[in-house]
Amino acid sequence: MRVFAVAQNTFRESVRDKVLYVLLFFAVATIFGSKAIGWISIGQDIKVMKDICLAAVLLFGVLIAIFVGTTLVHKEIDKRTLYTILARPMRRYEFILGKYAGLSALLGLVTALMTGAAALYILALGGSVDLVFFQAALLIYWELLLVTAFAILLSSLTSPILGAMIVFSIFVIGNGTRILADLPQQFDDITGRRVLELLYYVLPNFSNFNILREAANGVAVSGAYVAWAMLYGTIYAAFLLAAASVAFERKDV
Amino acid sequence: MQAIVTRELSKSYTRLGRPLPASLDKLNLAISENEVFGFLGRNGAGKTTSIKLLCNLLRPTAGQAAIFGNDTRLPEARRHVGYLPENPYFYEYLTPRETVDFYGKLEGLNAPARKKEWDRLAEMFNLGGIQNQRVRTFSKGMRQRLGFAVALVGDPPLLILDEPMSGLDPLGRRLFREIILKLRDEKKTIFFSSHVLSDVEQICDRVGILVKGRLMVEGRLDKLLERRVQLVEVILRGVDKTLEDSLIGQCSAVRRSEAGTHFFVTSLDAGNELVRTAMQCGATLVEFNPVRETLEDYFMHSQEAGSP
Amino acid sequence: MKRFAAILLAAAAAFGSMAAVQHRLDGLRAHEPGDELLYLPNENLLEHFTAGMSGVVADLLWIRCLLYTGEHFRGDHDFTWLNHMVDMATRLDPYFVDAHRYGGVFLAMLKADDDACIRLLKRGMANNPTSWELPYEIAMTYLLNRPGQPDSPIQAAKYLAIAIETGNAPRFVLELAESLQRGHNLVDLERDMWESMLQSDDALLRDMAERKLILAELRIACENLSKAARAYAAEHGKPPKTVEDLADAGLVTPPPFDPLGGSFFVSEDGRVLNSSVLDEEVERARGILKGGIDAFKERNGRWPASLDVLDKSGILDEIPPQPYPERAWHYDANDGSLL
Repeated sequence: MRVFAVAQNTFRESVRDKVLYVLLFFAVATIFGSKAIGWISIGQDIKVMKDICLAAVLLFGVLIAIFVGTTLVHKEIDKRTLYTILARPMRRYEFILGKYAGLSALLGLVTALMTGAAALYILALGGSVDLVFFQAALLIYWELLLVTAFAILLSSLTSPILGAMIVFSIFVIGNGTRILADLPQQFDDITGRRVLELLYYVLPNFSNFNILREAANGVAVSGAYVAWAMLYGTIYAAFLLAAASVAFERKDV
Repeated sequence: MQAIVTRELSKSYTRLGRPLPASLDKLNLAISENEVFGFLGRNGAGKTTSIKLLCNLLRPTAGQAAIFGNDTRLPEARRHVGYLPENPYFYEYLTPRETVDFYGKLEGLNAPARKKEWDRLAEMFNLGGIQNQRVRTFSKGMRQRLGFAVALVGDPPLLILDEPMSGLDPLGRRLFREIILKLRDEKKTIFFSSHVLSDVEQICDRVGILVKGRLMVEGRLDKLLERRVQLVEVILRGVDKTLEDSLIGQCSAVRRSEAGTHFFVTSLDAGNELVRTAMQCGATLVEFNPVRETLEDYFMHSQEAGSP
Repeated sequence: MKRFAAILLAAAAAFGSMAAVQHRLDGLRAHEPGDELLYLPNENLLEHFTAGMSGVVADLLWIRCLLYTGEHFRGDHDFTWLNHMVDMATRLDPYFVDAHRYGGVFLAMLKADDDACIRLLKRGMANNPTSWELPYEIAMTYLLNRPGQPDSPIQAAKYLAIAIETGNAPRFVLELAESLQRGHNLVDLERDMWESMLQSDDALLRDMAERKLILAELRIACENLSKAARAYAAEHGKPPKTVEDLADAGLVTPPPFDPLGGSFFVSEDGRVLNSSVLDEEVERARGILKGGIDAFKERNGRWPASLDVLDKSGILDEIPPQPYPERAWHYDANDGSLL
């Protein structure tokens, strides 16, 4: 009940955040503008539109997750809205979970809206939208949940700006971790290989959630793959939230 | 059962590994149920630190504290506490009604209970008129009222208030004083900090004075001040010169005014003696004024005592 | 101490299970083999660091590629960067069938680089097993770019069969396969291919198709005119000087017209040739030679001393002759330029 109350409040508070609307505006503009770029390709305008729309959902979703997420806990400490809440018989981790749940709900709404708008637009222009398109959107959402978990962890530890930079770097690096899987073959040194392999499994691998190209080209993706990818994200996010709770537990506010 | 007990409660910070002087040094305090305790100190003396430690917003570097027998580090301890921080902040986009509703949910109250709480608190603090205005638009005084109302959600038996009167106009102060006294009548315990001595003087049973992180003085207000009766001013009428001369020996000063002759003696007993003698000689007692040290004087003394 | 141990345990559990899940995911997903990293570091790095938007980058690259092709097609016919662009776009989005398809077509038709074309199409097939377009284009490349080779019809038939097996192939593919079986007429094949491309939505492809069809017509016209020229020579004892002579002699009606702006002329040995057709053959031959020159440069670090070197060193099977009867290749060994 307490977690839910905090979540509900977080949701309402973030819905009022102006940054959210600016980003949404640009996202929607990108979605509706995708036709223009599609126009100059040879008969691939629908494919290009799907590419751009899904990329917009991902990019703006990440920006929202980072900007709102990194300020989330920090703003409460700064503005001391936190004091009266923590002075209740509420455990600190309940507070963290509530914040996370609220932001996740917000992102879910945003992702659904943007995906829906994109799908309707594409349908209106004569394209078809198949299952893989929505699977891609679902995995984008799961990716956003993981990014948010990072953001909340950083929010409990450091200032918003530093936190935002760190999470954004993690996002970029996390999309390229596959290199670590490919490189070991080029190494003769066993320890070197082991280190790279270790890094590959430890660093977050965001490319697991990326089926955008399949979605744009109408290539089917198995339900099993989607489920495994979601499981990966869930485990990692749970770990991060646990870490955030521990970090927050002993923090002097 | 004691409402609050602290034992050697301390908090110090370090900068780059080196310890700074303690913000709170070995606080030993016991607050009984149904008391109004005033916690005094200058800015930076450690009042807010103590309160935050009690509410588990800070972790102590040494010592312990318990609220109604529960260790303050456990969430159980906070079940019975209503906390009003200094400069309370609430979510800007909510209305007071939504705010109280939110805290009601945190307390685990269901919807009807929350509505009842709102009705009770809105009446108590005059929030009815502004119930749909967003907190963003509130003045300091309005926020303070809302803060106190929030602290009372769930009707907790112990109230911990950090500078509750700060920023209030005289009407607001009066309202708060009345509410605190009413709460005392309802058998609640109130622990509040302040640096406004007149507020404390008017409502507290006991006070504690914090100087540079240390509790210098603690005890019942009247007893503390009683000890330091500086002077007694006795105003008598109909004192002729002979009487005056005979009484002068016992006094530290004599003065004449329209009201009569003012005799200044150093204790209540001496004053009583003076009056008896004078009345036997036919003088009339106009006023008998023990000039007690005000809390302010007392406060200043303790600051000096605490300084090196 | 207990806390620390608990955290460590939680971390081990979390990362242990995630490693297992990751392994599973890797198994489920097709991935480019790692050794490619050595040859094309740019493409792979780009893919890894476009943060999940490689599809969009591929689209933009493809559009750029189309613009590049269109520009040079109408201009100087120099498509140096085509291979690189097509490669990048298709590596960034391996499911982008049209980029593979048309990229391959451009490489084969505009640069005469059928090796690169077939490599590209095969890579595309590996990632897109349900596509009929890609094996179809491989078959066409064998038929049109490598007509002389003995195994071409066999390979073409094989790839057409693959295309048909995908189950998505349109009827003309089936018809083509059948006609291959019966023996085939290359000229008709080519014309059919261009005619289907005339239906395309894109102006560039339509232009290309139109031009190619006109050239095909012109070739046929040349043949007919050459026949007429021989008839003229038989009648008058010597070949005609110009095509107008043929017209005057009443052997051709109406007098031929070249919509591409070229002219018909009679060669020394009595054949009628058309400058537009020859120009196209010059471009094609030039493309092959330029490719060989560049390959030599890359392999040996310097320009070849002469064109014959290319033949001797085995880079090219033969030196294509200058299509114009009286002209020769002008090659400058100092900067590798060819006129």
